[in-house]
Amino acid sequence: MEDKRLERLKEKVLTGHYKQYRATSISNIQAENDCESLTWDEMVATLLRTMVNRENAVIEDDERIVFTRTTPHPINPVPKAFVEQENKMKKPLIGNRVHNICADWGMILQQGLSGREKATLEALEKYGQARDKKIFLDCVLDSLDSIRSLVGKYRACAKEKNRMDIYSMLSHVPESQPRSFHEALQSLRFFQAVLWMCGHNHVGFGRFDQYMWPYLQRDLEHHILSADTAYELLREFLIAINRDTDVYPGIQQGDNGQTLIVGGVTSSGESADNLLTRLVLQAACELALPDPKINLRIHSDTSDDIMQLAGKLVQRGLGFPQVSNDDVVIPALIAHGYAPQDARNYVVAACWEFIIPGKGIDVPNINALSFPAEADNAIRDGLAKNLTFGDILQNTRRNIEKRVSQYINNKSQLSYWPPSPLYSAYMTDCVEKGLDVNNGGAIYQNYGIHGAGSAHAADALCAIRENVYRKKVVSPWEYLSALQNNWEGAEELRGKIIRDCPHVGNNDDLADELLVILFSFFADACEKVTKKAQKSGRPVVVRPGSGSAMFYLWLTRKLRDNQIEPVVEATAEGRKTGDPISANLSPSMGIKTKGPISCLLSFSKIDYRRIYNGGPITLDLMPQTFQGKKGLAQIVNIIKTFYVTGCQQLQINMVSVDDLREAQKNPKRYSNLVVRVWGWSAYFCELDELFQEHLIRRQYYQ
Amino acid sequence: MHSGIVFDIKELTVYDGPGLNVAVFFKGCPLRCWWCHNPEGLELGYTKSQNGIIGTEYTSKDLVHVLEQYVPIQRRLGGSLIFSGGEPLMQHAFLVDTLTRLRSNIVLDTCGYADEEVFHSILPLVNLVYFDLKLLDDVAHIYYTSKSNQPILKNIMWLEKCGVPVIIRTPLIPKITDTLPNLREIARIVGSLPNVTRWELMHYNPFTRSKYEALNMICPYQETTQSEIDIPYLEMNGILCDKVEVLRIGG
Repeated sequence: MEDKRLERLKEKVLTGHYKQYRATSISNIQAENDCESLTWDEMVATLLRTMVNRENAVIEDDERIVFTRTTPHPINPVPKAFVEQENKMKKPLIGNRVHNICADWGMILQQGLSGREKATLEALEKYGQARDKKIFLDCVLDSLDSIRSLVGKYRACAKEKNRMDIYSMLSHVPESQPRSFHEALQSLRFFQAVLWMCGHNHVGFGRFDQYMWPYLQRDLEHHILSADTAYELLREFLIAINRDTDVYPGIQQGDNGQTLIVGGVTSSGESADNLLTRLVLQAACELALPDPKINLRIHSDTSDDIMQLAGKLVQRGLGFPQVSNDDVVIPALIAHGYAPQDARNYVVAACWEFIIPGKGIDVPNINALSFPAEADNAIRDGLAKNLTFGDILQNTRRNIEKRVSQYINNKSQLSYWPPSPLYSAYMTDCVEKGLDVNNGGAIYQNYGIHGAGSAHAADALCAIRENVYRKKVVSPWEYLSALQNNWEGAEELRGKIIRDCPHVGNNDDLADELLVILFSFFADACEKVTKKAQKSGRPVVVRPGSGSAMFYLWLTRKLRDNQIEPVVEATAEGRKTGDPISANLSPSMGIKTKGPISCLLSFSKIDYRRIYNGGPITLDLMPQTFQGKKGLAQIVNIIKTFYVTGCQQLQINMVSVDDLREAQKNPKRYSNLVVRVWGWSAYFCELDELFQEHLIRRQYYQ
Repeated sequence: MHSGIVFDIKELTVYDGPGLNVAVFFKGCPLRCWWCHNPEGLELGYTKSQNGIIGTEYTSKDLVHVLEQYVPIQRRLGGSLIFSGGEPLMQHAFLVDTLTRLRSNIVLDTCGYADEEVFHSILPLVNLVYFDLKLLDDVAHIYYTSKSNQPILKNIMWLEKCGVPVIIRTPLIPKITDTLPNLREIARIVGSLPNVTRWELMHYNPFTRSKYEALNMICPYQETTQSEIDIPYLEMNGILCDKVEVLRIGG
């Protein structure tokens, strides 16, 4: 009976049922009101108020957890002075609203609106003398009150529809601490949805199985809930957060950062796995929806049944759970200034980056370093000037250093975040200190840069070294002209390189040592700019990572006007101009390697104590080979090998290329086909063709 | 030092028991089974294919270097190095040289067709044998594999004498190997050998057709239907064996 209800709820999500409630006009208080008399904090709070005023309460008969978004994503207001400054400097100074961070969900649930209000009032008493703090804290109060108005609308609607169950629940949450697992889920639904309404994006759920567990545990212990009912409510919640994803902005539909992290160790280092860890993995597997994007933290005590559940979820082909290795991630964070108890509490941002819930507003993805471009410049220059291979390596190092320093000096990526009174109330101790999360309230405010296309660059350097310098089978001039002619007329050489040269992903030291060197150059460059920043009084760390995001396309063809990353042409490992590079940590596109274990062994050589911004080893498996019980055992073996070889992060895709091709031809039939694109999963048919093609052209392990 | 020709090294072989299994495929096979799913491994030397030359030469030292990388993981997760083919015993000296240099859990995957001395000499170096028993009628065996099964049957008896654990594998080829008389005979052998731990009935792999095309070869076996044999059917027909397991592609 209940399963039928959930089936219906899921069907409604899949068929776009909720779109009927959406208004079309976008909230833009700048255009609608005279904002000149308002401070920026007030503009932001007014925006939320406007959004709430426009929301209509929607409660359908079969819902036990309510909220449906009825307004589109708003336009963030910007004070005139900043717009003028921006125009004068001819480049944008203002980043988006704070995004891609993680709230202190446990705290906000526990305190509720009234608890947060009380803390804000106390802060007002303490800091209210200072005008800017008073404005900020007043805006926090106003934002909290906006949530109250929104909930009020839902309460009235519930009463009108005679849904006294909902009415009585909303009389208690999110105002106060939830009394049950059900109330906790409802409260979380409101608190998270309001952040989106406020103009923030990439809002993840953090360590859901940790902060929700006390509520579930109490219900189970007191027999308020049966395990079945708890599981049903959990599934309803997970369906509900797919309801509004079409409203959320991102590079592509689905790139919304609704991550959810389970497993791992507690802040004191013991295993944090519990029943809810397992239920989430099981429910995600059963529902097969693109949201939330599940991340599993594993550690020395992760039990085999969790591994099995993770393997089964991988077999669903949704591209998650993404797995991260606590034994590798936590020490690296500690080594770079994160307090041990915070490091142990890490979560994964929208895609891969390790951030601290409640305490960090790290900007972990400011730009992508193009390893292929930096190596290629050095290679072409070296071939033209007949330099040694050592010179080419040193020039690659210099290019990487220059680029990293350029990215960090480009302030538009780093500063002038608009104020966020509401998000400040969601973070640990910001309001208590009277500080906006953007303006000194957060403890960690570091930056991250991802190094994309590392395997391509290492393969390119290796091909040059083997063919031009060691075996001397090709002259520098000949190689250079092949590159300049986009391999035209040099097909034989190209074929030989692709077939016979050592490649990253084959556990071949000849290629892997260059991968390791490239990442050490990158780490050196980040450490250099970190030291420089710290000398000038900015206590930030620049974290190097290994993700690629959309840069696997953007670094190989010019798709945007304002792109500052260089576009690379034909490269020495045999790649032609315009061809994409591989995703995250994976072998070069078009290379056949021995298999997933060799791939893990290759990438396990990277020094993850220094490359710690995240970015997974990405494995693409053929579903025909990895299905069934035996396939499951092999997937579990892959995850365990990932762990024992000391790798950092792993993401496994399991899609059939035939299905993808069919879906391109017949999108209606495949409208529910979910794939992982880079750090997130989405419906395949909603992607741009370029991203679809990248998925089709990857190497799938048999 | 000996060297030999290998046509593939495959990680995570799905049908080879728990843990992390890595299989090495040696070139060359004395048999020519109609349904062979590794036709690229039949010839002892290199083979030309539409995708290039098949076969890589390794010295035993180089092969050991490649395989040793997996051993620490296998110590943690379990699993074996599997020597398969073709028929690994066709490159006997290379195989012995490689195995004596490896300290790991070694599995020999053999069709059993080899000289007695060759077969006997290899057994002290292996921990487990996958032994193919296809057809017990010798006329049928000669017809479908090109060789008599007499050396095979002799060698399997020797395995019992040495006490090496054995898993017997029978490909289920409809109307050829999956007949009740054939399976009954194999079951009898399985039952009589205490060192046989399991009897695996393997369904025919239809994904191999494209391999033949790439090799410009014609697959002698053209049927695409799968055998309908399953455990209840075996039991119904009095083929009782608690060691039997039926394996399907992806099963």
